[in-house]
Amino acid sequence: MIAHYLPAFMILISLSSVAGLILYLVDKYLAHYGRCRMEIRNAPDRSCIVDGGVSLLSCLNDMELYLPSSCGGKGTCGFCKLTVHKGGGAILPLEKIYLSRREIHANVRLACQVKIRGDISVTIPDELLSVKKYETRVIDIKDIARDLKQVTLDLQNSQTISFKAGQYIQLLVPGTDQLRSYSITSNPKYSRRIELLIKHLPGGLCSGFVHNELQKGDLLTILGPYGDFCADRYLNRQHITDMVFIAGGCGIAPVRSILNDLWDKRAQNTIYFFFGAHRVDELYFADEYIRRDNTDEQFHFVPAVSEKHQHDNWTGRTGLIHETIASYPFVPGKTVFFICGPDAMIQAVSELLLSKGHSQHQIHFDSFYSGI
Amino acid sequence: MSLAVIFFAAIVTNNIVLIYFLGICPFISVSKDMETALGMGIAVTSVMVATVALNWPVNYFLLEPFSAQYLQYAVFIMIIAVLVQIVEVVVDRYFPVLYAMVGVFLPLITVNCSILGVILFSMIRGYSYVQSLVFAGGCGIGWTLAILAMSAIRMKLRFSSVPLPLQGIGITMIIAALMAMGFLGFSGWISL
Ligand SMILES: Cc1cc2nc3c(=O)[nH]c(=O)nc-3n(C[C@H](O)[C@H](O)[C@H](O)COP(=O)(O)OP(=O)(O)OC[C@H]3O[C@@H](n4cnc5c(N)ncnc54)[C@H](O)[C@@H]3O)c2cc1C
Ligand code: FES
Repeated sequence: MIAHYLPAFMILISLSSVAGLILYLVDKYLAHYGRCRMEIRNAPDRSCIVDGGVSLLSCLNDMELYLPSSCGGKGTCGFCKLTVHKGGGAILPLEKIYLSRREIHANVRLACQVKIRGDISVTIPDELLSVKKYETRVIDIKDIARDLKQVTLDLQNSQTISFKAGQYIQLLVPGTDQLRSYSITSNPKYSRRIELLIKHLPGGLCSGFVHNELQKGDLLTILGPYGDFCADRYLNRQHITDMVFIAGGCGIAPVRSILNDLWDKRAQNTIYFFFGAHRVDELYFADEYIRRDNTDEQFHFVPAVSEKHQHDNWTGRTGLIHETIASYPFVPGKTVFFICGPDAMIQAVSELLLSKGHSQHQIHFDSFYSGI
Repeated sequence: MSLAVIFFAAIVTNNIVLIYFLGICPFISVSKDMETALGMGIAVTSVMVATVALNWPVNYFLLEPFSAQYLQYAVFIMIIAVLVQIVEVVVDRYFPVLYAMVGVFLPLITVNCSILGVILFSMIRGYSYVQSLVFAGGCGIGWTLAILAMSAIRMKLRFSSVPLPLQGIGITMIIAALMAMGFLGFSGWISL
C-alpha cells in the first residue's frame, strides 16, 4: 500500500520543492528593487536611501513625512498628492480621476499609487514638511447633541502642536491603518491640547468608534496639522470689509476655531456666520453665537433649518442655507467667503456666489466628504 | 490532425470562451476598455502556452510512468499557480500601468478555468507535445480576440442608452450570449 503511494508522494514533494525554489529566485531577482535613493527636492536634508518595492506613501510615512490620506492608500480619496520629478513611472489610470490636466502636466501624482522601483526625486507640498505624529490622551468626551461629540485630546510627552485656525488633523483609527480627517475646533492659542467635533455616521468606521467605544483616558495617535482653510490672511486687510463664514452641520468645527482666533486678534472686519442644519437640534452652539450677535455689532449670526417640524419652537429662517445668503448684498471684491460642510452645500453656495459676480479666489472651502 | 486545423479550430470553431464558456469571469470584468483587454489577453495566452509546455511533459514523463495520473489536477494547478506568480511579478516590474489596470484579475488567472480546460482538453484528445502547444496558443488567441471584440462593443455601448436595469454586467451577458450564438454557426465545420 505504502509502496503504491510512495512515488506519488515523492512526485508531489519534488515538484513543490522545485516550484518553491523558482518562486524564491523570482522573488529575489525580479520582485526585489534593492536600495533606492529618495531625493526630497524641497528638503534635501531629509533625502535618504530607502528600500524599493513599496509605495511612495508608506515610504514617506516611514521617513516621518506624513502626507494626508483618508483611504489607507487605496487610491480612493485623492489626498496624497505630491510632485514626482523623476522615477515615478507612468501615471496610472486611477490617478487620472483625481488629478486635473494641469496637475498631470506638472508631474503631480498620488503617492499611494507610485511604487518605488529605482531612484526617485519628489517635491512635497511645503506645508506638509512640518506635519508630525502626536500621541494624545482623551481627557474629555462631551455630548454636544444626539449625534455629535466633542473630544478633547491632550498631547503626551510634553509635545506641543502649532496650527492655524481652520486646519485639520488626521486620526488613526485604533487597530486599523485607516486615517480620518477632523478639523480642529479649539483655539490655536492652546498648543498642548486640541478639541474635535465628531459627528456619528451610522456604520462609519471612525465616527462609530468614537461614539460607541472611545473612553476618557484612551490613547489616540494623530497626524497634523493639514489644510489651508485659514482666514488670518485677510485679518484687518483694508480692502476686505466682510468675512462670511458658511457652515453646514459639523462643518461648524473649523469655523469655531477661526472665529475665536479672529476675535482674539481683534479683527476689524465685519463677520457674518451663516449656519445651516437639517433640524433645529443640529444647530450646534447656536445659543453661544446668538448671544454674541446681540452684543457685538461687527458679528452677524444667521442660522437656518431646512426641515421644520410642528413641535419645533423655531422662529428663525427656514430653507437651504444658500437661499438665505442670496438675499444679502455682499460686495464682490470686498468680501471673502469660507464654506465648510457637505459637498452638495459647498457646490450650491459656490454656484450662487459665482453667479453674483464674486471671484473664485475669494471663495474658500473645506469639503468634509470629498472622495468618500 | 494538422497543426493549422487545430490552430484555426481553437480560435474560431471551438473558441474556448464563446463555445465552451470557460474563462468567463475576466472576460466580463476586464473587458471595459481595449487596452486592458489586450493586456489581459496576452497574459492569459502566455500562461496557457507556458502551462501546457510544462504540464505536458510532467504528465507524460512523471505522472504516467508512475501511474499517478490521479494527481493531475493537483499538479496542474500547482504549476499554473507558480506560472501566474511569475507572470504577476514580471508584469508588475515591467508593465506597471497594465498591472494596475488588470488588478486582482491577474492573480485570478490561477483559478481561470480556461487555463485548466486547455491542458485537460489536450490530454483527453491525446495531442502530441507540439499539437498541445499549438492548441494552447490558438485557445489563447481565441480568448484574446473574443475579449477584444467584447471590449470594442462595450466601448461603443458607452454612447448608447442602455435601459438602467441592464447597464453594466446585464448587457454584457446578453452581448456574450449573442456573440456565442454567432460563433455557434461555425460549429460542425471542423470538430476536434
Ligand atoms: C478636511 C476634512 C475635515 C473633516 N472634519 C470633520 C469634522 O470636523 N467632524 C466630522 O465629524 N467629520 C469631519 N470630516 C469627515 C471625516 O473625516 C470622516 O469622513 C467621517 O467622520 C466619516 O468617517 P467614518 O470612518 O466614520 O466613516 P467611513 O467608514 O469612512 O464610512 C462609512 C459609510 O458612511 C458613508 N459616509 C462616509 N462619510 C459620509 C458622509 N459624510 N455622509 C454620508 N455618508 C458618509 C460611506 O460611504 C460609508 O458607506 C472631515 C473630512 C475632511 C476631508
Ligand atoms: S491615500 Fe492616496 S488616494 Fe487616498
